[in-house]
Amino acid sequence: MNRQHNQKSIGRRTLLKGAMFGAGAAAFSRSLMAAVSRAAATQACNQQVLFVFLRGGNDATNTIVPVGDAEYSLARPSLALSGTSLSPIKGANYTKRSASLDRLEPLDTAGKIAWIHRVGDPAAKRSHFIAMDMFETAAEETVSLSALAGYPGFVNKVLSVAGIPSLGPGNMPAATSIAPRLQRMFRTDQVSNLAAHAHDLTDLGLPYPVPGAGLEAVLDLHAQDHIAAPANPTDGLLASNLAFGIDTRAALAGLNFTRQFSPTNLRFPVTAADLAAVQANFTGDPALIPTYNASGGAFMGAAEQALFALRNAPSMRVAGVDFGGWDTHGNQPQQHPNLLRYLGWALRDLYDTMSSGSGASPITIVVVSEFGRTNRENSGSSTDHGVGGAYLVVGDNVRGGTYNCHEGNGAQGPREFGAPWLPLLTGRTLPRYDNALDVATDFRDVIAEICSKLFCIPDSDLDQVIPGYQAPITPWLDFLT
Amino acid sequence: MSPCFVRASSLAIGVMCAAPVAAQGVPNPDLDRAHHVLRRITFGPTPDLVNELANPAAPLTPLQAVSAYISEQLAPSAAQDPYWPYGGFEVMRWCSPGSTFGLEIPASPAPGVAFDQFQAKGTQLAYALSSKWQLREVMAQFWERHFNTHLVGSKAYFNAYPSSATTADAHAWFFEWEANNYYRDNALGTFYDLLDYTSTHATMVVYLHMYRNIVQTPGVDEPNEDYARELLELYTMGPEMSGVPNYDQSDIETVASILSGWSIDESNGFAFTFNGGDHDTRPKPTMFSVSGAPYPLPPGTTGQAEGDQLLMHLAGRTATADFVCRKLMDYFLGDGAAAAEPALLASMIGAWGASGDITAVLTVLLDINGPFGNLTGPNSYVGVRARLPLEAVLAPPRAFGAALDPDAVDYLSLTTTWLNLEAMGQVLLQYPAPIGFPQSSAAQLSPSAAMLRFRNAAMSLVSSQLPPSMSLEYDIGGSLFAALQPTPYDPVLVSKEIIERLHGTRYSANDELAVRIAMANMVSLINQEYAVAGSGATVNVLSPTDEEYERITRAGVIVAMGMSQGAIR
Repeated sequence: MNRQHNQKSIGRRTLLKGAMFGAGAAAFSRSLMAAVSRAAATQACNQQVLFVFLRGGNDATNTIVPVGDAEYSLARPSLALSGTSLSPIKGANYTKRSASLDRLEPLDTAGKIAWIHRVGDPAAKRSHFIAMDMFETAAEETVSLSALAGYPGFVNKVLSVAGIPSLGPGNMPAATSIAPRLQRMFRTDQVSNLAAHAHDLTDLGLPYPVPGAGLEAVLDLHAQDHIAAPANPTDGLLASNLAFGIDTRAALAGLNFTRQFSPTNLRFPVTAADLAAVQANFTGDPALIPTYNASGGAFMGAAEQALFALRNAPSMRVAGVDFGGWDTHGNQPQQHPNLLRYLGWALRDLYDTMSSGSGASPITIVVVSEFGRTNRENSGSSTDHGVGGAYLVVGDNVRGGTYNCHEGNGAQGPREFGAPWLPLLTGRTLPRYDNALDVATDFRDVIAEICSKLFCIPDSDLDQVIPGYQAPITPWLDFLT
Repeated sequence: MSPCFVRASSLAIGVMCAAPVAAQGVPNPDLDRAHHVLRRITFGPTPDLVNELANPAAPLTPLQAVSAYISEQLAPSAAQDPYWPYGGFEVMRWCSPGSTFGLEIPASPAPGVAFDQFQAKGTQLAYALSSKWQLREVMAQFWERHFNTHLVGSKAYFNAYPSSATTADAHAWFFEWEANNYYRDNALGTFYDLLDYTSTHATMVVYLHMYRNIVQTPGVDEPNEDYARELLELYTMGPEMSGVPNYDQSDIETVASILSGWSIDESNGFAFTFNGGDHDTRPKPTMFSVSGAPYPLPPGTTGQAEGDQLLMHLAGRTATADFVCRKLMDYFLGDGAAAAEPALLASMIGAWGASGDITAVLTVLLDINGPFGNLTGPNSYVGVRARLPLEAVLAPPRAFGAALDPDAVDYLSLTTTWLNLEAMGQVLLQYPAPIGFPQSSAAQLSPSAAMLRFRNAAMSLVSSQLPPSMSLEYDIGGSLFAALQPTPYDPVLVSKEIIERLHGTRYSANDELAVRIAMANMVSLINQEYAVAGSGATVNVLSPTDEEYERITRAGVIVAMGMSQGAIR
């Protein structure tokens, strides 16, 4: 159901009013000024990013596998991949990828994937929740936990600093989180700068409660009242969420999302029935077909919807989806390869879909996780929380190859970049990296490179996104062209 | 006006007799503050509770009355509650003592009966909606979040035991249900009891892989750190106190070694067992040195006693008191309250004791007459808490006196409630991460969440708007209509009545205006319908027909309901 026809610009109007009178005035003014001063730059800088967050801590070591490290099989007598469980990464000598990701082979060959190893937070907290919060707020390493609790997500800061308004043409939101709850990276305490949120794009067209209740009018009134003179920040934020929600949900619903999956194209299999159809019709290696689980299916659906929104709404600059289930303390031999099959299937479908138009796609997919896992396997043939992890970046703007995982003795392959590998058992010298991958690239430098190259934020403004950021903490990897 | 509306329904949900709501628009700051306290310590004020506070003939002022109510709530009595322990609930009728299999799950469930999420989730909703002991219910949910497990996500564990007499699903839901009942029964007891229970119960042992923590060759086998880390980070001390770390990675490894061998026995109803052959027998180093308060195990402690000693120590450790009391303050008062009120926090920590006396701690926190004047004084935290989804779906029916019949609870009748809850992002007993469903207000608010709350309100209220797959549960609009119908239609009075019922307090003039606009719009809509039908009729706003009155009232309720559901308490 397309509700866009009867929506007014309530959100924008009330947000403007709120921003002028409420607590968000200062931030809004900065945003407005930045927008004016960067008008020329932002017109030329129209890139889009899809963040995929692998929740739970992906085992980086069995994703980008250091086959050149003789200590790999010693550290993981049960878990070490070998033989047909491994596939080459083009131009890399020291590492291979898990064969569960073999659907990515054409992308890898074409140089569309940056395989970034040993990226994370040197603070090495090894806590899911702290590590996720650190990334999603782009917090400084030394932040206190009490301060971290109040930090806004980094996405809204990126949009604000880059001068990108919260609402584009047709009230399309500039950022959208497609997840059961608003992802922390999109959260804000500023009423002037909000990201949209939808659990499911297909769920947006449900009718409003009562014909004739005049909800738009009364919500507008409610929102104006509470944004303009909020009794407290919660009240103001709720009111702005209501007003913003009407606009953005209507705009998203107006995209009229339809699923791609069919027994012939096999793209984005969400349900168990979809996967059964894949089993019946897939002509490639059947070992690459994931076994259905709810988390993988939810991710597949969200990924398709997020890409659909980005492609059909060019003013949307950031989208985010979650993929849970990567906390493989037990049952890793069965669990992890299946998760990788889901990831590989989705990334292939995402790339094939986004590159189906003419020219290079403006969309870059950034796959992150809060940390990697322990080097040595535990007593359950699985792994516990580590430090350094793996990010994958996919797109036409990517410098394909591996990062932070080459031998470092001059035998570097043509697509091996970054820092040399440190052996899993004997290479860690700092106590905080005990039994874990170290951090060769600080995640803040990854965010900084994205801000700089995809959002045209000058170096001097990066500290407005990443608190305290002055200069690269670790060398920029130049994984984006 | 003394309405008594019982909705004829096969769903076993009735709306209790609602005494007249007092405070008809007369400002009464004390009454507002008393309402505010009720909103924080219950799943929403009911007409009965509100009228107890507002009765001008009562010997107590509203604040005195709510103070007495808090004292009563801190000492729940089974004798006064048909919902406790489990009286009248279907689940207990077939999980009766003496049944086979140790789990009290019958080896051969009656045809058509399976222990599933209807029972496991429905029990919680029934208690929270209807129990007299609301503070106990609020705390049961607090502990459910604090000691979060997601056994349904781990149910494959039970598939490994094909001799089990029932399905993996039934096991998973049963154990989640059982743990939730323990949190309810012990919600106001000691923290140690709760900690000891979870660390030995099948939910946690399976969920955080304690059963895979096996060290048969010390020094070679790596302990599984899953539970050890969350025990320190989420269940007891938290990562740091006053900016100082409470533990480091080496402590997690030591705690994992101490708890190696803790498991459950599938041949004994999945009850706790200690497998000495799987325990790391090496001496354990002193722990928590990084915090400045090191802890060595008592000399000579070995085997399971190592873990027992550790849990007792953790339950009484100041860092644990600090962590849990902060969480309680932030929940009952609002985000950041613990940081803002160090004196209150210190007083609560002082009441914690060696085992974590929850009643003593809450007595300090909820002492509205004490030195801190919590919830009623200058720092009353009015309006800064966004309701959690569970609170959002239960407060409106309670506001209109909806209650369950304890002798005829039909869990299917609650299905829509937990489906709405899931649409709002809170899936009972199935939050996947051990940190539990977030309690902060900041985590509740998003554009989509706000709109979903409006939609949920509509689904609960207006049967004509329900999707075909949904069923009407609480005909709140109908009950309000019944309550108001004897009164001549007056938009001003009706809008005030609606808002006071739903919010328990006054709201802004614009909000009352919004409700009136909604009602006026409905009048216009009805007139348009008459015009289309060519009937020539129009709504007589001074004396609408019953049908018109109900539709107009419902429109107003929905708008006010949306506000109530979305915000703020």
